[in-house]
Amino acid sequence: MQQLQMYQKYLLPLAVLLLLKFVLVPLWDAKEENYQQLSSSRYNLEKTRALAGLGEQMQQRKAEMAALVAQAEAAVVSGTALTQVKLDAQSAIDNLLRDQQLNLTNSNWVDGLGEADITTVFYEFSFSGELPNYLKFLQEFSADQAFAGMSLESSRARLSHRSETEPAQIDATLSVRLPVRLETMP
Amino acid sequence: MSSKQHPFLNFLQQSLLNRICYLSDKLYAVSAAGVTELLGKTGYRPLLILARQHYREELVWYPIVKIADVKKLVQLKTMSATSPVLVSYGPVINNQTPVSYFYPQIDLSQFKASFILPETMLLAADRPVGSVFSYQSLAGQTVFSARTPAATVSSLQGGVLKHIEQFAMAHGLNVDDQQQELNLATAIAPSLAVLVKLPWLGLRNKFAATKQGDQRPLIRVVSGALVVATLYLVSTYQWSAYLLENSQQELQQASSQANQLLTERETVQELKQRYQQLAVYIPKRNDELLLWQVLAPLYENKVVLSTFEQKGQDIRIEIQAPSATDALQILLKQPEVVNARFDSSVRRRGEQDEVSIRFSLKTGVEG
Repeated sequence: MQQLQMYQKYLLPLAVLLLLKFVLVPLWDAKEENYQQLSSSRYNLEKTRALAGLGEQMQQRKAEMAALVAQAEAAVVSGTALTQVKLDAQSAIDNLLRDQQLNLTNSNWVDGLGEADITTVFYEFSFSGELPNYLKFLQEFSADQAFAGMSLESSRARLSHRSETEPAQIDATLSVRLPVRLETMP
Repeated sequence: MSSKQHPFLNFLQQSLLNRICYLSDKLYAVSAAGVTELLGKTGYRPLLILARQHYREELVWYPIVKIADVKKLVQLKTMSATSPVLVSYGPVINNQTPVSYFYPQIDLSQFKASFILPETMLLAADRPVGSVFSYQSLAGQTVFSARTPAATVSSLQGGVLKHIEQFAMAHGLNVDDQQQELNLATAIAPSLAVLVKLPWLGLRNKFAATKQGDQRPLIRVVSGALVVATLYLVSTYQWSAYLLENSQQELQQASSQANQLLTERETVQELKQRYQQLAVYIPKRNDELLLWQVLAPLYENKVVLSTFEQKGQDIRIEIQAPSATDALQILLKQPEVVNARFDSSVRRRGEQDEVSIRFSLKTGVEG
């Protein structure tokens, strides 16, 4: 008991030190850490909110791009089977030649390279007839929406003039480019 | 003391001032506004400010640089004292350490204050080195004081010391620059900044600490301070944790929105790539008749077209014309024609020239 009384004066500093070591200092550290994390969290929040603020702009951009893609897809001929697309295109061109009184003499298909879901094919055909009819053919080919997915890749022609009163005759070979977007079966 | 400071600081300061008493002709309580006489039970006040008339100053120079050795000498000198001796150490000057001793000349045994602070030390603490000031004590005496590079010095007016100039000269100071007349009643209340600067170890009242049972008031003060500090830390910790949790929740929500946005950005990127892919395949719808519009003027000038070849932008024609150069001129004059030139030598057959011409069209015209 006497010893306890002797050391009594040391109890207060000891208690203070223990409190500092195990309560106050850890509390202070935890508080500082919290504020540090808070600062970092607020910085991130600010950045994230700034990013989220671009939402409307992004939606607008997405809608614009979707419209452009839809427009581009519509401009390219599509089908589930390449052969069927070829047949349809060939039929349309043959009919146009017939309508313009141009005699088809030869035709064939050349397959081009494919990329993703798009394959490019070329329809090469030869015909003969009068030059004015060929010009009408070109005019129709340009104007008719049935040929919107096609473009003339190359052409080669020989013209002959029998007399000044008769129209010139033309023997031509044309190559038409046709990109095809193949759709997968649902 | 500024009254414009934060209310919490004002409260803290007043709480501190309530722990201080000032002993002059009477015992006074200290507040920011001034001093008021303390009557009745004073309670435990750990800091006692001692008026100048109650102590004697002594400045001793020790030819020692190491402060620990100086402290040992001071301890030897003061250990046999029967009343508190207050000490303040100055900076080493010319390899000598100045030590100020303050000997109270009044019986302080009735006071339980743990620290005794000479008033001149308090008043000089916040002043620049070299400043000289004077004030009227509450007992009516004039006190001269100065802060020299070595220590705070002071003296009561009287004897040969009549004027502050004499006091300043005695300590090698110039009175003209820094002289100031203080109002003691308001200057005696120490600010927090001043309290921090004071050399507390030398101002301990060892006699108060060794008295039986005198530790209890100190324990109360220390316990109170610890409780306040603990409560403050717990509350600030809880508050910071609450703020952090809120902020993290907000961040989580914002991150979710941002992730959605990033997904949409990826979609836009995919759409863009898709468009770029498709754009290559979109057929170029040209005026297929433009080539023939270009060739029409040749017909008007009796030029006969025999063959033409077209691949991409390049066109080659073979013609029969009365003048091949005139035919080329006609082509060159047309704005849609670019880079027209003869592709073969000009052959003359009768009245006609036969030649091959190559040119390009400005637009991607095919024909």
